[in-house]
Amino acid sequence: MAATYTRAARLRQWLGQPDADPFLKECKSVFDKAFGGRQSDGEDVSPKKQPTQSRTQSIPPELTSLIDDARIHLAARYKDEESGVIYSHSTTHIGNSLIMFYPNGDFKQTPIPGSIQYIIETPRKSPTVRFAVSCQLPAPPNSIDPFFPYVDFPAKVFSTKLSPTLKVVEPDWVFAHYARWNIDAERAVVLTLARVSRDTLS
Amino acid sequence: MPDGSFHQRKQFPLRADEGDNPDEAPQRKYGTPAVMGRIREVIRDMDTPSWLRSVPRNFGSAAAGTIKADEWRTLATVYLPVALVSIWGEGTTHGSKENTASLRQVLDHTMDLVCAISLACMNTMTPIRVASYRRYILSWVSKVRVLHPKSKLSLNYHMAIHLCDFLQLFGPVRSWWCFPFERLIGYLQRLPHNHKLGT
Repeated sequence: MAATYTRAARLRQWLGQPDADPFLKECKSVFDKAFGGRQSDGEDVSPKKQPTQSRTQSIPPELTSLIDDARIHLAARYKDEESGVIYSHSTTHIGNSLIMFYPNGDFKQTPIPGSIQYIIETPRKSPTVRFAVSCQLPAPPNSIDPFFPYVDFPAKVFSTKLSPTLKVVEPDWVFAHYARWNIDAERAVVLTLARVSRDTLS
Repeated sequence: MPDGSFHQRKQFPLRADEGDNPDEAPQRKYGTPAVMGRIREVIRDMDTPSWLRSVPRNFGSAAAGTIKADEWRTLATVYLPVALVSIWGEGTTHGSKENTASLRQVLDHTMDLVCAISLACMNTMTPIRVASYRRYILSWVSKVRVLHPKSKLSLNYHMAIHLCDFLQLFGPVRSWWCFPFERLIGYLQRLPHNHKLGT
């Protein structure tokens, strides 16, 4: 029975390889339909089918100064095809909008937390997707960080407030999602959910 | 001729240490309603991405059912440490100085285990991480009977120390953990059957 299970797992792996022949991909979709493959919450969120909300006329004014392109679309979600991770803007799904990212794409710096406010599609510009992010402000001065003594537990205290200014972040600069919980009215704990080493990525 | 207590000790070697003496002070309970309430509050209010597996919101009550291994992992690496540090960590006081210090000791001890689990569950493994895991798990196991004198030692404690060797030999636990087999067992358990063994 274990051997059958292992063989099935290997078949799934072989069918699921990203550079597979289109015929094999078609076989996989049939296979998944027949035997209950992994579903993405029953919802197709591929970039082509993402709901775009608006055109140039209703672009928020804070974005026009950030993106030097008149033709932009705003999306509610973005799925990274390589990792399968879904990012949303904060009003769609607050948890999926919380990202740790390398400031200005500098992989030598420590990732900082922020919440995605807008997902911007610029069809004429590479990369075609960017995030407009409000950073989590630092913790108030003289506030205690009770997580400081635990160096191997990746949690840190920040302010509950977000920066009013937006930063443009490319999907490749994102390090991981983070979890957030407000300890009190002023302090929020930010827990990085990465399960890989930052050193191996940089 | 060995007396009855000899057989008793042979059969239950830890029983004498576990303090069956009724005169001894009962073991202090740390899962107070306030602590459980904080854990549920964190589970309810924490903003998490959709890929993070959910855990029962009524954690600790009988209605929550049996917590599965993967749920324990999420609890131990995300919800429990945040809740416990927020309620017992630096900046909090609990009546007397002794009580505050005692709870801090228990928290530090628990965080040893949390850090060990967090490191062991990483998808990339380095010699430094293996060494850190060994340090945390040894620290945790060595203090279990000091801080919780009536807790029962089990083989799992010993096995947890051996995980360092496996991390060194086979790399990240994701490559060799038993979750796929647990899933298979769950699948088999859900299959309809007539309670009769086949031949």
